[in-house]
Amino acid sequence: MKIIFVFTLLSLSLGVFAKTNEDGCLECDKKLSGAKPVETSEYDAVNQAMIEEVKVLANQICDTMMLYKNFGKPTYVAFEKMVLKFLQIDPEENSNYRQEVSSFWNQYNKHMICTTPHNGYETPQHLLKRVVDMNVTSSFYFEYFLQDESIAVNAIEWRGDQPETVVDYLDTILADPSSKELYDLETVKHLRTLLVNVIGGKRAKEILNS
Amino acid sequence: MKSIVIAIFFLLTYEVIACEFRNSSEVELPDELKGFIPNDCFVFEGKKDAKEKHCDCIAQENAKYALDFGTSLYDSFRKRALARLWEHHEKSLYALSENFIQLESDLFKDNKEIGNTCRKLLKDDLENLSCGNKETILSKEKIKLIAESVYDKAKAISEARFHGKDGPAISNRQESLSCSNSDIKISEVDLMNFELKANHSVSLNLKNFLNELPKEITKKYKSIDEIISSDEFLELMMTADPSLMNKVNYFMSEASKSPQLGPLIKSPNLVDLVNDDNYFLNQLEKINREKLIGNCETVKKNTISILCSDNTSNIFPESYEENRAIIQAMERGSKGNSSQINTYQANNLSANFCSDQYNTDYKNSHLSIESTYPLHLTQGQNGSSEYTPGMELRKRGHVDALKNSMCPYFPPPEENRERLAAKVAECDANPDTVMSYECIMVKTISADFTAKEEALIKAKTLSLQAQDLPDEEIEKKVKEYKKSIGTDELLAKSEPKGPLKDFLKIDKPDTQVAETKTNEKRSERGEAYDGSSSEGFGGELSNGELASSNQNSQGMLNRTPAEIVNSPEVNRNVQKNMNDLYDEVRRRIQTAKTAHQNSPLGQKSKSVPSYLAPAFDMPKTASDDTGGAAIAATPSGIEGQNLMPGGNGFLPPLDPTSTEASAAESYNKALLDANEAKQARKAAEAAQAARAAGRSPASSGPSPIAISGFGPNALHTEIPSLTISGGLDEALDKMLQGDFDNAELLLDLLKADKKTILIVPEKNPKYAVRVEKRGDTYLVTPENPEMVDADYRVFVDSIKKSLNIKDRFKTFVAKLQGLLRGQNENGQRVPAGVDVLNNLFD
Repeated sequence: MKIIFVFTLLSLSLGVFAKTNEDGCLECDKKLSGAKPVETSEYDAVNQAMIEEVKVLANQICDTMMLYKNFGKPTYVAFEKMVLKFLQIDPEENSNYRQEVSSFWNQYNKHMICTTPHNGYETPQHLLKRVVDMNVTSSFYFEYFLQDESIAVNAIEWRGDQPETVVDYLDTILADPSSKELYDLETVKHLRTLLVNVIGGKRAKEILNS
Repeated sequence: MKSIVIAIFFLLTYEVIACEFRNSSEVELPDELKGFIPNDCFVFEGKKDAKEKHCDCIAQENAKYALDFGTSLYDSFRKRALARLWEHHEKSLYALSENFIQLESDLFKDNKEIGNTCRKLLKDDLENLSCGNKETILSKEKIKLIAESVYDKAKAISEARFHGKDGPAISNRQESLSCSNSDIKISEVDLMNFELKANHSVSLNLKNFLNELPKEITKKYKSIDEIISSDEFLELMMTADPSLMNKVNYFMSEASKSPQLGPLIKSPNLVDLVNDDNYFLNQLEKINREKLIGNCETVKKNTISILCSDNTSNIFPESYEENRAIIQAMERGSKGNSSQINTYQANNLSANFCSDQYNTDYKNSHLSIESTYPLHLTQGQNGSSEYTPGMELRKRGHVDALKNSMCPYFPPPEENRERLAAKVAECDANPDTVMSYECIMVKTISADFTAKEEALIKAKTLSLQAQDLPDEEIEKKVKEYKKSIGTDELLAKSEPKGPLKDFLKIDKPDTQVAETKTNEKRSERGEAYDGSSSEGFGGELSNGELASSNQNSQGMLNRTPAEIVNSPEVNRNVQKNMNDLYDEVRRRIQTAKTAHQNSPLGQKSKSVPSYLAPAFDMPKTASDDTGGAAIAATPSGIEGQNLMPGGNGFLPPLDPTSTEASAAESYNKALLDANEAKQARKAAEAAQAARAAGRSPASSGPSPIAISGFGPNALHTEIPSLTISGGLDEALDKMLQGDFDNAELLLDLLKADKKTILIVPEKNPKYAVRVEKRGDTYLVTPENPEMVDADYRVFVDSIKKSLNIKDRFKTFVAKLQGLLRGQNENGQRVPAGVDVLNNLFD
């Protein structure tokens, strides 16, 4: 049922997806133009329902990743398994499953936000930033997530009036002298370089001004 | 007195050992060097390349003057190096004492053989230590003497620390044990014991969590690792209410991080192992037991290794810090005698160190000592190896953090007691923190203190009543006494009962030690020990009512405060209070399961509100939040749950015929008997006054409580039924504001010897709840288990909370007392129902 739901949504969204920018920043154009994009009511309804489900899923992924981290297991496994489960894709039957995960991520990454408070973590916090704060950068980003160079990493999270991408977040960490006690700064720098130079990661202002 | 004897003993022992290690290498310097000022090369402490710089300095210095001090200087160095190792080695005895004290926890069974084994290792095996035919640095006589001192020292340290006294040679203990901004001293051992109890609670929750998982998961996967990696578990995470699963997640993470539980949780066969009710407890005990035996063996081995050091060995340390400590000790000399070495000699000795002439003897001994006592965690900046208490906590690096976070909750002052209650309420109210380490520790401490305070207050009340004092005076004195109860009384120890008892070979019933400790501390605070000394506190009872109570209650009364807080009945009450803590977490876990069972994918958001919207008005209590109150999904899961100690892995309920149980019941009965006449009289007077005063405006509406099945017209076999509108607390609240007739009836009911009462919500009579008094606890069950649904569970839960969570009930009582005060100000009198309720539910 869910897969039908997802495919319906995907087909409905084909027409309007082009209206969003390449980074999956669904509302960026709203902010830029100040005008509501033309969307069909069907799309609105299905998309809204899907977004709500994705938001719940995102939080579940965050929680499960935390659990995996605490038990010394690779967090990307939790991420991938839960997305596949959500999409009802059996990786043994669908060899293309990694692309399915990426497509899903690229469309909904903006909504992948951890919302349940955890001590020592900002809340709400986009999943890409949470991974950095969990200090599982190497295993998640380098060994899994950024293996797909077309993956979207420019989701903008609004913190008050300030737009922020994961690149902005990394810059904040690198600029803070106290960060060395919390992060492996070499890994953070490496991640930033990879995001910007290879994946096309940008600062929020660059996206909004482009 | 005891501490003075111990101090003298150690002073003498130290002198003997120090004399043996003392050198006699004083030399006359050549005249040409007398005006020459050599450089001190030990000025590179804390620098990364300290050894390199030191050795450069030594090379330059020694190039200026080539002196031969003969072999006596090196003999002296060897002895001092051994003394340094011994200094480290003796600290292992403190670590050993912590191992012993941990095993004294009430959670553990008798471990007699361990105490005897350690005693044999450290006493019998080290007696007459001769080192065979080895040519040793130390003389045979000295080796024998020092070896024989090991057990005595271990004994003295363990005994002193068990009673919370300063052990010998712990120069920084005072600071370590003191809470800042107060006079309270918390033993690190007490902190460890709280942690152990908290661990026990967490382990029970873990077991419960595993049992709550769908059977298809636990049948297929046997370890936590496999479970959380499984698709089924991920599905569970996705289908249960996310916020509740987050709590499970939090709890699991906390459990996995626990240094003691962590390794157990990772057992590959955990799912099967937890079927044994005592698995975690047994494992925790096993870990501690093995650690103790291991440490005893290591202490013995190191004692032999150090004392039997070969005379031909160089015994040069490898590290700069150790070499510095040895040479500087020689420079300082021994107690100001003439054996001090000068800087020329010091530099000469360091030349050997710098030429890397050390062998592995010193290093190996050092490493072996480290295995029992991690010196690197405790050594001061100046290289001293002062003992720092709390090794087990310190290894994990959080002794200071733990102490700082817990100190604000230890009385006195009185505000700390209130702060503790407030924090517990806050933890209960906040679903996101209820399973946090801090909350679990705070609730563990609260559970412990509450039970002990109650026991002390009861004993004090009984003691005052025996003196036939006026009620007002008794009340006043009890209030004062309650305020005066401090952490030292609450944590007072009686005598070792576990392995330490056998290790120490205590034959005498030494209750004086604990009593002395408490009195000493009171004396330090400048307080008189009013009514609580062995004479006043447990004085013979001559009061008419009390004199009729049996010998068991007399026995209870004759106890010292230390004996009271360590008594089996108080421990049982601590466990009962811990059950509440366990129960709170368990409810949250079980709700997660309920959500999973009732919520197919996509339906979860619809299922949650049903928990939050009971079909009747719920009382607002601190933990009535988020629906976490919903409990087991099946009727069988709710029946008798967790109120009886045996149902959840704590000690099984006592056989009512057992001596312990009858002693406890007799004790309670004595209290009730003593109070009953006075309270009944009070109640009758109050009821009469209330009738005279007429009804308050609040009573003009429908009564929030109706009692049936009780009174002159009720059948003898009928179970009294209390029909309430709203929640129990709320209904009682309203009733006491004005419904004096029903208040009086309720008073009579509570005073009557009825063991079972039904509590029936007015709007949903099918949700009747049976409350059955079992000893000093209550069994709360749904009267109609076949009709259990989420709302019914919430209602059962609310009744259970009202009756069983002491702190919350105290809050309730305080609220009622506030109401009563308000009414008195209005010139109306109300029944003294609070006292009666308090006694009944207490």
